[in-house]
Amino acid sequence: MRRLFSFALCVLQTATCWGQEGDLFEFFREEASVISASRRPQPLYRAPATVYVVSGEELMASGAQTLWDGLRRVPGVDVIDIRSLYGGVSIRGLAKPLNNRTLVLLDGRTILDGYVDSPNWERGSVLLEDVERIEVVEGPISALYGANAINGVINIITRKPEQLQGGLISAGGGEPGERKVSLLYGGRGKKGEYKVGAGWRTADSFEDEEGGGKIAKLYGLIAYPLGEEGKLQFSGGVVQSDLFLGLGALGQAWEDGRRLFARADYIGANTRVRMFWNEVAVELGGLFQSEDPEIHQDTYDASLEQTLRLGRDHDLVVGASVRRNEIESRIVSATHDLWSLYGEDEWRFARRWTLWSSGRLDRHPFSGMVLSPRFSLVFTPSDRHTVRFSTGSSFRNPTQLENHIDVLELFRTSEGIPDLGALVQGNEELDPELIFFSEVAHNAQLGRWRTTIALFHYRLRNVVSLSQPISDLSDPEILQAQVTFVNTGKTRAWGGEVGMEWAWDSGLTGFANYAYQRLSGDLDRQISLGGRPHHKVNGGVRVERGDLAGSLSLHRVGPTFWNENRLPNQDTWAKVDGYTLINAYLGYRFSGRLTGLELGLDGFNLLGDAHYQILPLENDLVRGQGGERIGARRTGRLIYRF
Amino acid sequence: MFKLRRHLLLMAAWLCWGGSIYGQEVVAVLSSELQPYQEAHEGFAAEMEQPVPIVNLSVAEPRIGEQTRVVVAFGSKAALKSYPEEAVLIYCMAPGAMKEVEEQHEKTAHVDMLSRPQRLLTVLGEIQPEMKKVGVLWVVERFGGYVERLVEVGAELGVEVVGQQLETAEELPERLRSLNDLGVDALWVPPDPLLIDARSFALLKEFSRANDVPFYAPTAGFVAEGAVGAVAVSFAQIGRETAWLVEKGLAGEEVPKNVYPEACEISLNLESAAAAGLRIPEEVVQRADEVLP
Repeated sequence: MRRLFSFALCVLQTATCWGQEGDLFEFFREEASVISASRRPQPLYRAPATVYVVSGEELMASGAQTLWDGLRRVPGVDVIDIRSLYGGVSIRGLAKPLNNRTLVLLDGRTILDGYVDSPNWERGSVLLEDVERIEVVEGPISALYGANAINGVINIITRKPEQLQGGLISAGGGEPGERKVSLLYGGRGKKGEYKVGAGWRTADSFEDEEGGGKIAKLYGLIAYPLGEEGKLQFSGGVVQSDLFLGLGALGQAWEDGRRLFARADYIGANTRVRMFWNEVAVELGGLFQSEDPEIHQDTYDASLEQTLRLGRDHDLVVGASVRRNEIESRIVSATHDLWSLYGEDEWRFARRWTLWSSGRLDRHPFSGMVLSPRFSLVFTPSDRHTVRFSTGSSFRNPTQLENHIDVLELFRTSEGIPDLGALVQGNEELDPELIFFSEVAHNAQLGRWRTTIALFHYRLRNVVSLSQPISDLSDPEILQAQVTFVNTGKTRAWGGEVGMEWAWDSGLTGFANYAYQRLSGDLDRQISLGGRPHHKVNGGVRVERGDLAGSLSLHRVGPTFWNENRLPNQDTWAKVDGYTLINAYLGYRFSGRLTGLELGLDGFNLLGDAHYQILPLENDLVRGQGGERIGARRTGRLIYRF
Repeated sequence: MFKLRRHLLLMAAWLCWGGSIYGQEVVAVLSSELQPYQEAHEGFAAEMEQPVPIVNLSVAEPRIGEQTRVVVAFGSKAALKSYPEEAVLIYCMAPGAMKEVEEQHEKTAHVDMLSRPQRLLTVLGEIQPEMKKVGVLWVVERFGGYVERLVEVGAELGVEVVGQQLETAEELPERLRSLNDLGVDALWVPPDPLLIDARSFALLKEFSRANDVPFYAPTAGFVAEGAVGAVAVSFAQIGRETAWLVEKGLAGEEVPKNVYPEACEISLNLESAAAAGLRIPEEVVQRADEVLP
């Protein structure tokens, strides 16, 4: 009987073997040393930024039912369960429901909805079972990724068809009202590779049978070899969603619509060309007193990247991209043409020293040019340790809503009292938000242990926020307040993370980490200076013994303060208590005639501690953040691999 | 002590030739004094009709004149040095650097460390007659083409080849689990410098024993370290093949860009085979070139 194999082995054998290396291992080491770095992906602990990886296996074995819950274990990441099918993720503070300061990519393609620049997590063209890994790059990194990479980048990388070489069917269900079916199939044929994924999921709200939603998705990929090392790849997908959202100051809304994408890539040894089209066509219900807005937004993007070798120890990557964002809606209508040029240079100027220099020039039609430089000096005192110092700046452009929204909301009052009106107008004069940062980090791979320590300091400028309301008393029937978006204030943030992962034996692994963050100054009025926990602790173990597998994790998040969003626009803050989540997974892999069949039981918030992670909507005039009370989720799933 | 003696011998050899490699038709350049390069060079020197001057890069830099027609490089470091444009570079023992070498030099020929795909799969099938699905893992891009050929050959032989390219060796545990899920009953890795080190080798060995999946190594030396077997070209044979290519070049014949050596050896480790649940047929054991009990 085959035994499950675990990651732990990766580090177990090292101590015993390193002392026995002969000329053969030295031969391979010497040969490896002359292969150019541009073709050698850096081990994580030598990367020029703080990077964490959650593998697809860890995701599935964590009991997570959503992508964002799978990220809870990463130090420095703020995860907010807003509703059962809607969540938010931020990095190192600045968290809010419609977070637009973290860039989220799916295989390198943005999955931010172009008009609010906020990720569409559960509505992306990806199944949990198809995730190969999620890379979390912490800290400002616009120099490589462009706008919105203010506090980091999350790149969801899906499985290559060659990793599938077959398929799987997964079906499951549980509480609250969870039902889910997924199908994934892929492989390599005579002419190329192919993959297709389809999924359907429905869930109730944690609080009642309403307020959940349903999502259906279908996507696929085909790839053909082109030349000796090139590959031409086409992919596309559609996601139909009908679910409840919590939209921060805007309150909560029911979204009904679809997201489409089509993409073509050429992947060569040194050249990459990528073109894609993202479409969002949704109707937002219950958001406004007046007619529900239909939003149609298209993003067209093309980019070219070239790697140049400037000698054995010197590599340069240069690239350019163009993008058009178009939006049509009764509340906002606009077209933005953007372009960028970027480059990254890696220079190993001494045996143990590497300097990474990168820079990017971005142009926005209203905000103008922004230059984002970044430098990382990496010192490798030994093969298993690195010390890094990074500094630079990053930015986010104003969203299309912030530039162009134009909506008047009327709130009827009782007879004899003037109605309340709120006029929200965009501001085309907004400057981009800028962040300047410095970071020191140490990474080590010590046999069974992998450790990370990172300290950061940020200065955020030109924070885009809602203005103080201007009252208009000219109409005795309506008491109207007018607000717009303005650049206001400066914020400082500092903090750090310490984390470790270890493996006791071939079937027992664990992790523990702690993150601290503190902000001072002025900030986006939607989220307040307290809108993130100062302290976060995560820990967990994962066990595999024979055909049984299980995991248990604990996440403690400190209290936060959020704007109650009282109309007409008063800044009042309410505390959301800290909470503790305990999540678990238990799996069994059948053998013999049932080989290929797996049974899994997932538990989220096992203690059943009903809590808010963000403020709920109280009524039309106290909008909170649109959150709901988060309860327990218990589900089971059956997976058949073929 | 042994290394020091070898080092001194090489230095003496170089001093003997000191400067006189100018004007030589053929010059050999070794990346270092490591045993694999030495063995390949010994095979090369034994096959060459005339003695060929040698430069060891761990001792000195090569000073090669315009008259040199062929430079023979042992290892990537040697192959990536600058040589006169007119000289043909014939190189070996550089399993992962073909692309870099071809970018740097116009006229090149490479003697591969890999044996022919047909030969490899056929012999693996003889060692393990029940083999139906073999997993292959690699990092360096160039091995992708070889694996594609393995897939084609496997289809003809009734063996499914499941190839997976890794971004880095760090992915190895996960990819092994993936191969295990796919039900592979054998595992082979090419001589991939970005994949093979002591750590990943230990991991492959442990995987093999824990899951009853025999692991076949890319060179015979790893069989003594615990691999179940190897169907590989010896370093000396690689040197001999390099010499034949040099002779061809000197004779004015066209030399191919890449050559798979014809002769390969079978090495077996019976203890590792038993630990991986494999019983190797007696006739294969009898004709193996090296058998470890």
